[in-house]
Amino acid sequence: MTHCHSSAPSVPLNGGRIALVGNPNVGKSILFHRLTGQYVTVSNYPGTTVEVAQGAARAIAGAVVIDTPGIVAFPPRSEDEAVTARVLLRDPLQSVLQVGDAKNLRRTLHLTVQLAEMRVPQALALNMMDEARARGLNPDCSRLAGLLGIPVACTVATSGAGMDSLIDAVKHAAISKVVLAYPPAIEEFLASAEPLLPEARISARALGLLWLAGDQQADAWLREKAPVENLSQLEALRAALTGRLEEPAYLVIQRVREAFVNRLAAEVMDVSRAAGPTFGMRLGHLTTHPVWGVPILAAILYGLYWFIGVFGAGTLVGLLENGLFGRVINPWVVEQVQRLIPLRFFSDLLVGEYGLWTMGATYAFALLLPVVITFFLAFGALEDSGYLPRMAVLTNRLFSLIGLNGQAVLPMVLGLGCVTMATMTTRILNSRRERLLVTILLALAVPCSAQLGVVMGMLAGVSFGAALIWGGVILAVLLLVGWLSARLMPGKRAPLVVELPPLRLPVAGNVLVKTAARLEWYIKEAVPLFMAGTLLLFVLDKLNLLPGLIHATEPVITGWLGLPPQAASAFLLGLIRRDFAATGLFHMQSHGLLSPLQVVVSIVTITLFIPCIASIFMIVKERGLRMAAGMVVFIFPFALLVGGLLMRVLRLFGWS
Amino acid sequence: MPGEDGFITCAVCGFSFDPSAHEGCRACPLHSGCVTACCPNCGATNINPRRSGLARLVERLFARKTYETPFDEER
Ligand SMILES: Nc1nc2c(ncn2[C@@H]2O[C@H](COP(=O)(O)OP(=O)(O)O)[C@@H](O)[C@H]2O)c(=O)[nH]1
Ligand SMILES: [Mg+2]
Ligand SMILES: [Zn+2]
Repeated sequence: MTHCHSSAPSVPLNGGRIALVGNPNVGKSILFHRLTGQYVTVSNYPGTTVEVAQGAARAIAGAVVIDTPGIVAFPPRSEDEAVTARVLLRDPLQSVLQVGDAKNLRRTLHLTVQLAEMRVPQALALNMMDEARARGLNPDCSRLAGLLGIPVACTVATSGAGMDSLIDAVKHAAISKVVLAYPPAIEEFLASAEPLLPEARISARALGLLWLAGDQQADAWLREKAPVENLSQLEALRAALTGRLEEPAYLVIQRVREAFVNRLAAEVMDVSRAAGPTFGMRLGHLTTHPVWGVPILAAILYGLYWFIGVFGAGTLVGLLENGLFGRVINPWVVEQVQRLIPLRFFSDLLVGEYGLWTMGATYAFALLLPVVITFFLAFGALEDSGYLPRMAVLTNRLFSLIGLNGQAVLPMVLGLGCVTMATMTTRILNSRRERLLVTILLALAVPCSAQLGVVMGMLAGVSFGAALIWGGVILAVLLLVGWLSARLMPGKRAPLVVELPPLRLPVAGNVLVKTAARLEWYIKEAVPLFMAGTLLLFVLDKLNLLPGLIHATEPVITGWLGLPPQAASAFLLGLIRRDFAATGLFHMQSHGLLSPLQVVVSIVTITLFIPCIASIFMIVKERGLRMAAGMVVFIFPFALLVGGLLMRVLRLFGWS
Repeated sequence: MPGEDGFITCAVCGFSFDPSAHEGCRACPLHSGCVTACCPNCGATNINPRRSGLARLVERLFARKTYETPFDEER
């Protein structure tokens, strides 16, 4: 470096100030230190507890750099974020340097577009280029610069790569040429609102949009600066606009930005593929094609069916359950236990009908494990191939047709959602009714992927037709429920943001590592619960409550669902986890106790049950006991209703 | 060498995030220390292999091969 004798430059108080902004954890602070060196003051931003660091830029004479805390969204949600908004609104700035994560280009560009609307001179550091490249993403910085009309530098903050071009970019910070066109209602609002807004450091258009989106900082600033009569006029304008829009204004605004950002990102990413599309790229393109994507999806689903259902639940389970456990291990264990423990009660506890070994361990290791392992292997391979985000794009089309859209719904629909976590996030929803509804949806329709995998695998082990019908019914319920939720809660979801990684062949080692991690998680979480469930059945049986229970549920199990009475104990296990019920039913089926119709009906019913005990606890914790109870009261009859109706419909079509 | 951020990439939406900041088990009342992480962008459950002993074992078995993983920056 050639700046070796830059002695401590005095910080010019009102010199050119350059604010670093960006999402958290994108490398702002590291770049800040690279730009400023050691002469840094850290102080609380006036009126807040948030620390802001300032320092003189080494390579740009007279400039002071400010490191702001990360901003996740405009309007800001936390004090940290609000400070960034306040810096932009209130501090005299020479320019803004946005630091963005090259791995998450769309997210980065969302903020870029908002800064562009503010019409302050800006530059963009596309940081973490090393990680982006390692993931096969290679955004073209100079092309991006051309499209945005601002200087863009590609950097690796940790190694210092690209610092020269960054300094150059900061020196040439420019007002972007990007102007987004919003729907007419919003444009008209902006046209009439702009003359009413006081002179600000950001453009009137950006200020108007911020205020429209409900930004607290913009609101506070306006209340301070704008004359009262202007304020009331603005509020009237906003109220009129809200009446004209079907969705909240912030969502409409976000959609427009989303569309722009998607186009921008696609163009910037395309250039790196200028060498001509390879086979993988062409295939990748086909997977999201509205027409060709569907047969590809069908082929992949059939592959999953074959691997998990036919191979896992069929061949492997057959070898383990009938062969290893049924012929070799269990007869020996039973004999030993009965010889060593003469007391009937204790030997039954281990090797009786509901014995911890003969039922608990045998189910867990001979029935569940092969299915779970094949499922995790297949899922890991699918994950590594980069297909899942493409599947998200493909199915998003279908779901947006019925008014569903966005990142909150999609993982839920794909059945990959983390139910307990999602129940947590429903906290942020506004009204009680909305929160309740979302929690019901989650509990009803979203099993975690492992449970879903087992259910699917067990079912596929029965027959392909059964798997198809199950899939169709669950999809229909999800669509119905999703459609209802979209009707009842418009505007509660953000658009789908996905980065499409390159399609590639999964690496065996990688898939195995992930499978091992998932397996450990599954064993820790599910096997103890499975043992506990078995113990519960054992205790009920010994107390002679089980026959009574089976008898009591007979009208529903036998009468309504058309199942043999013994299915009640599988349903009881299903209260703990869905996959346990599936295992119990699978076991019954393989011993000739269930017909194909009965398998489909029972598995559809348990799939719609409350997902697992963990999420019931979560609902109690988050929503309270009363609400959890109410939810169970709704979901149980609903699951049974669907099951019974399905049975009758299938009978009409000649199933038995 | 800094930059060992241990980020994982969401399998559903491609979002990169720090799994330790979004652990699924924070929300789960059953046990702590599980290996799941929930993507902050889309909410999908992801696996954080660094949290699993079994996964580290398998990883060591494959350590001689060079392949790209989001979690091999451990060294
Ligand atoms: N691999 C890599 N890691 C980076 C890069 N820039 C920052 N990091 C890491 O990202 C993390 C967050 O950096 P920090 O500067 O604190 O981000 P801030 O929240 O935006 O201030 C740190 O662990 C850095 O080591 C980069 O260009 N490449
Ligand atoms: Mg920082
Ligand atoms: Zn995600």
